[in-house]
Amino acid sequence: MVFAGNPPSDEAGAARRRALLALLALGALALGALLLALASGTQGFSPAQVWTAVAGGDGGFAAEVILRLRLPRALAAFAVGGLLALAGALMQVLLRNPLADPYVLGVSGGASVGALLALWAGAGMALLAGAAWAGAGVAVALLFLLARRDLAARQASEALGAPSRLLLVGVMLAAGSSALITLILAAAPDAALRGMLFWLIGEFTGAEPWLPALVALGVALLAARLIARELNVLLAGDALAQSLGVRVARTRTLVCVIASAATAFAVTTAGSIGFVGLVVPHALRRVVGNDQRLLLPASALAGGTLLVLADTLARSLLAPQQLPVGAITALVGVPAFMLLLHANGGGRK
Amino acid sequence: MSAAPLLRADGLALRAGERMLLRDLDIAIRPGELWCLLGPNGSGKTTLLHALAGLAEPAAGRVELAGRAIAAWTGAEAALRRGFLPQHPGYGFSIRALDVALLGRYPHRGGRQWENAEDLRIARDALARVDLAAAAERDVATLSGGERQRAALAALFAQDPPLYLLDEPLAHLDLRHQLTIMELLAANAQGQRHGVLLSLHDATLAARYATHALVLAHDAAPRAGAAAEVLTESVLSEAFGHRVRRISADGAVAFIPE
Repeated sequence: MVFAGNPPSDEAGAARRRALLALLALGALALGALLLALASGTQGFSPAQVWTAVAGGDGGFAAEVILRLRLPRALAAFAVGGLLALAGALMQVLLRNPLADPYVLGVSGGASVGALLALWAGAGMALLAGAAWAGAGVAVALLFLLARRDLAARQASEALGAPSRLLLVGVMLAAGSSALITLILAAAPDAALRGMLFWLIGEFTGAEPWLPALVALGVALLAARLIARELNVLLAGDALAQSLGVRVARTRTLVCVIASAATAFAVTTAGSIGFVGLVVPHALRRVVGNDQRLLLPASALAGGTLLVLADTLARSLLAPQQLPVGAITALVGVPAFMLLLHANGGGRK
Repeated sequence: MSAAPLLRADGLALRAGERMLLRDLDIAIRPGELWCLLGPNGSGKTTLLHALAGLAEPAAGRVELAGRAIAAWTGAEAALRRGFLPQHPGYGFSIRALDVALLGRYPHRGGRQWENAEDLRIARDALARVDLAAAAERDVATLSGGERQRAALAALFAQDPPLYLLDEPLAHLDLRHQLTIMELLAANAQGQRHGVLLSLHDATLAARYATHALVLAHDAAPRAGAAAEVLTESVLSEAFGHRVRRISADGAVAFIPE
């Protein structure tokens, strides 16, 4: 990001304006993706029909499909994508590693175990969500219990190496859940298997509670805004950050809370959808830079946009058959990630 | 020259796990003084710097920053009174040299979310002081080791605390860059407003620039005082467990291992 052309006196304002501009552009993209999602599907609609339906005019059948079926699904996809990308960006800062993703803390593993157990028991939607939440809660509780020494370290010297230990605890939790998931899949009756697989890959059905996820995204963004400045400093290392007056332990704990809550909301809404949280912040960092004040909200917008598009693809590619959106994000995500790695030689210019 | 000390430690004792690193250390750093901290590996230089910076609690004793117990300051208040440069600063992701310098403005920003024109002016001035003005927009990962260290120093200049604590700022630098950094720090101390304490391994460089020295040893009491009294053959030989000779020629002093 070179702005040598700006006179120094205006440079401070230029940085803010640039951030605002980037967010506006991403917001416009998000809006476009939402409109596309509303218009396309087995039954295609014109932009005019979409507009009439959304604006509240009586659109008959079109309005019924758009407002009752597609809008809730698109909003859920946007919220989940935003939550995952935001959680991914936060985890990448926390672990100072561009390859971290929202699932490294093991939250999704816990949620999956809970959800699969509920599916095994033949539970309905409400109970399924409750079980997924319980699983995510247990995983987060275990994480904080096992990593509390690192998170609560009052002194920089005590916390040295904390990110890597936190990462190890998360990886072990994920491995433990993965073992449990395998056990459940092996022992579950055939009738429940398809539902379990789709839950594990992640999919939208239109029946998701989109409002809680959207509210969670808003709250997480506000909370992230409060610590974005500190995160910029924290990236320079614990000792330097603490010497500059950042409350390192408190900030680290907050990041963990926000990221695990965001992940839990995403996973319990639509299953564990991969690659959004990994690829989106990574790619955006190359475009908008690594200033967390811009990168965090930008990631949320771009993650939401990406998942809305991926879900639109998932339900139109083999229509009327629906594909799990997690398979689409992985199919798009893997080559995109390879390309990114290749293009910048491993995360650095 | 008996201005109020910027930092004073009384009866300081440090511990690494069960091992006692040092005990009964008393020092006071005043404006205009440049302290060089020497000692063998594992003698506690980094632990001492962390304790003096208030980043770690000593096993015993008291550290006072600007006349007040260091833990009584809030993090931001302390950051206006002492700056700390850790060993091997790293930034995790790509970051512009200008943004590294801007890190030093964090404690000055209060609740402001964005840096203002003054922050930017000070950060650019700091980069100019370390001769990196032209590299302001460059990613520090593309800079040489010496330039990276100077960028880190620019953050300290932009922070502009009266007291500088630096953990091996010369590590891995070539001779010219070592001298550049030492000249910058010495010029800073000579302004009589700032005090500097840095750890390093080169007793010859220390003798050239230090006004005061602090030498740690594994089995002996720490020695602190005026450079001429502490940087001697006997103190250094004892501290490093190897005989060191002092050679002086044309007014310059060098310490060489025997």
